[in-house]
Amino acid sequence: MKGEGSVVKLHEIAIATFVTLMLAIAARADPQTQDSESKHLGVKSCSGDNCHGAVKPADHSAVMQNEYLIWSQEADKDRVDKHHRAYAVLSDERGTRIAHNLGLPDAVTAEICLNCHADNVPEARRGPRFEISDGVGCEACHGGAEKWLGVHLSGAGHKANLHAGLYPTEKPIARAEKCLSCHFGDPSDKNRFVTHLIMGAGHPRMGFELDTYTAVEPAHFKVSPKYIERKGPVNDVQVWAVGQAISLVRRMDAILEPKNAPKGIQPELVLFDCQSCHHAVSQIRWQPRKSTGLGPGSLQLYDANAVMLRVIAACVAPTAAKALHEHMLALHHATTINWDTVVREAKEVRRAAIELENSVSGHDFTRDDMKALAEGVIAIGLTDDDTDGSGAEQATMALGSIVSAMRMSGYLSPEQTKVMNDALIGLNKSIADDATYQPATFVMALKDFQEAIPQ
Amino acid sequence: MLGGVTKRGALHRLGAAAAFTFMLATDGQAEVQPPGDNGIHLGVASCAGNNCHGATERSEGSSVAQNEYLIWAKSDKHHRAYTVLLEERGTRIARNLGLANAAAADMCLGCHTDPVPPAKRGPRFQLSDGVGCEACHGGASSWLGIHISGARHSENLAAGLYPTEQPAARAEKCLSCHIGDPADDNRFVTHRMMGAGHPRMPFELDTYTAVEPAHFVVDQRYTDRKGAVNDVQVWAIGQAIDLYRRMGALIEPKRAPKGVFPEIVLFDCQSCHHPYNSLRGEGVTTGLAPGSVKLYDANAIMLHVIAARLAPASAKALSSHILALQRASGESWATVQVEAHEVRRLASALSPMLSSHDFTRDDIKAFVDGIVALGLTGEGVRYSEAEQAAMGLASIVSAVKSSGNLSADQITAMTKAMNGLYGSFASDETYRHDPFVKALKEFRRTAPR
Repeated sequence: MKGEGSVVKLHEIAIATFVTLMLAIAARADPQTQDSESKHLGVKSCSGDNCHGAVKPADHSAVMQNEYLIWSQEADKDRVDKHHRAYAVLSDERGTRIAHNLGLPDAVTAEICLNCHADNVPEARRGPRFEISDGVGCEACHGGAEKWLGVHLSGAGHKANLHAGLYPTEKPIARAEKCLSCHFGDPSDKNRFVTHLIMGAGHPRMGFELDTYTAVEPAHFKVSPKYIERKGPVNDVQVWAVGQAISLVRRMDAILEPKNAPKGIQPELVLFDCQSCHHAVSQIRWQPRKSTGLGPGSLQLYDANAVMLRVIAACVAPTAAKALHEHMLALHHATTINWDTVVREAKEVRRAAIELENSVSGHDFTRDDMKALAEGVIAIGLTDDDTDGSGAEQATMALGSIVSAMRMSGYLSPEQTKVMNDALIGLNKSIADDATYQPATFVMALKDFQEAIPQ
Repeated sequence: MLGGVTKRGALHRLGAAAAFTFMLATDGQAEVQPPGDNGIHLGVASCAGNNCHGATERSEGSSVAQNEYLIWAKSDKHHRAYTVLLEERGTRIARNLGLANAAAADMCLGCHTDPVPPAKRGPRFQLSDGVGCEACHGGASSWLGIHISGARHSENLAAGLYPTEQPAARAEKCLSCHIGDPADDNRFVTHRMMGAGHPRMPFELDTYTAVEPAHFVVDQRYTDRKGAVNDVQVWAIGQAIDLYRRMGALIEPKRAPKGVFPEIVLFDCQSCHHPYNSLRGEGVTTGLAPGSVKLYDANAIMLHVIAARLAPASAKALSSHILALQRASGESWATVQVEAHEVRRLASALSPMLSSHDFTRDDIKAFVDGIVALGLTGEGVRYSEAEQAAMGLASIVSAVKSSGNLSADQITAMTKAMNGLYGSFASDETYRHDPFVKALKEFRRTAPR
């Protein structure tokens, strides 16, 4: 008996170690692997009104319980969780048009669409209440519930749920991997990666920043004392920083993926900065950027995550910031040499990003860090280092995360919060329409934001 | 003495004629060889005397208008070509290119002035005159004397005046800047220059002749001296030579890909430069998948319309090689070059035929139908096609007007339809093919059947 207990304990330790290792060190593991066996029981298995389908947030429970209603937009019609409509949009006008342009009979039967617009597990892993038309449902992110729903219902606690297979979405790295598996995609999986072919057929551009997108999803959790007790504290700046590191790793993976190598004189354009090409001919906007070193009229790889990560690194690991800057310069320059050089430099950037991912996920972001990061992000814009639309978009979302973190950490008075939120609104306005985006307007909004930072 | 001079004149004429014919190039392709310009450039001041081309108003008694200088100086962008180098945009482009001064940079001066070397500039020559008389008509030292003395046009030509009245020669001259010479870094606008702020460069020979504005009037005296002008022919030849030059740019080693991208200026601007929130029809004309970058092929599409009527076999070949060229862009640069050679060969073979063809009313009807048909495929019309289609139809309107076969009402209706057509693609940023197609159909309704 005693022996048996030790085995169980060792087993638990082994699992715990394994999970920690996977998340903290490697973080490259396919988030689907933990979920590769269990059945997906369907949204209906979660949305009972005693479970996650309550009409109002529950006061006495550890979670809000109205998660289903938030996701399905029944809690607040104005706050749309697009995951809920992910399948439905495949059949609307735009979805139909994209399918037509891609030569598909329809989008709802095409793997290339379903793999991100639904919880597209194989038939054998769909429980009786599973509905593909539920779109990106609970288990698409939280993992197939077959193995953990029992433990979960029995009130075993969050750790036990995780051990049983619940996906640790509360951990920034795990969340980043999960979100990015669609919001950037898996470059090695042709059915889970939005190429420029799909964009050209009509797919919208895909902006992403982990912390901002968590908030605007809208989040169906509240970081309350009960939450922190069970899942640990949340620092929006860390979520942002981890998201940037992993986004950059994934972007480099996409460059390294042989399927994305240029075909003839047509490179995989989705790797490039959208607005590098997609701006009106009449808009004279080029100006030198010391972080690319590229001349006018060149196409530019999307590098807004790298620029943000450089700001983060300057705070967390200054030597790494310099190395990242140099590798990015070399990567941009490589596009004027040949694809082999691009691939070689992408490997270097990827290595630098992985190292930073580790430093960032272990870093304790202080109040001074937050201010330094805000100033760093602002400096990028004010020194014309990057005022491209893509850079402005990432900078705005970054500053949003920083304000969130400052507010949550109690560093801001209600008045200061209001002033900063107003400044954020100004920033958001300056980037609202990428067709008419003007760097000068964004820089002005940045200056206003800078003034709003409490000293 | 007199006999000697005449004989020499005749020899000169023969020489000039021989120099300016469609010669067989070494690779067996016909090539237009305009006469060389060996004269000293005497400067705009040498032409602008008020008894010569500097009259304040059109002269009634003379064989030419005589107010050419004033038209050029008042309304023609060529006149401002040098000045703009020093203006805000020019300064910005220079700065973006790392140049101290656009007005001192060969890569700008090559087309923004009459860029002859100092040894070939006469005492009254001013670089700041921009694209002056002799930039197009040739250095006047060898012909100004006989020109002033009232020599006939053919004699002026024989002495070295450039034959701008001949469509193929005019096309070569205009396109030597309006596309440029891809082998000459001082006479070719790359995408780097575009990115630095240089405007896009649309061109269509007949339309651009008209809007320059032309400083000649085609009247009886003009046709007596220089032959008849048919706007449709000018348009058609312009398309062939334009295409020939574009293909030449694809073949030119200097424009081969450096790094990941080829010379981007060879592509269709709006293929990339469109707001990405606008869903647009991709069009069957390229055969390429959505999201691909398309080589500029609007001239080829126009030439195909022309050839479909006049040389159906060439039209078929052109169509298949243009599709192959677009497809090749997804294969390799070498394949692109093979196909560009083929398209260039076809364009080259069509040029002389177009120069000698007598364009009939039925031809014109067929061209209108062919252009309008581009909008009826249901697949949409790209901006670059719309632009060339409209300018092509404008040339047809000019030709029809000149023919004198139309009533005033018909002319009014066509002009109105033409304005509608231009209005439908006025901005490449807001261009949508539906209004353009609607305007095309409206145009067809007004075109004489």
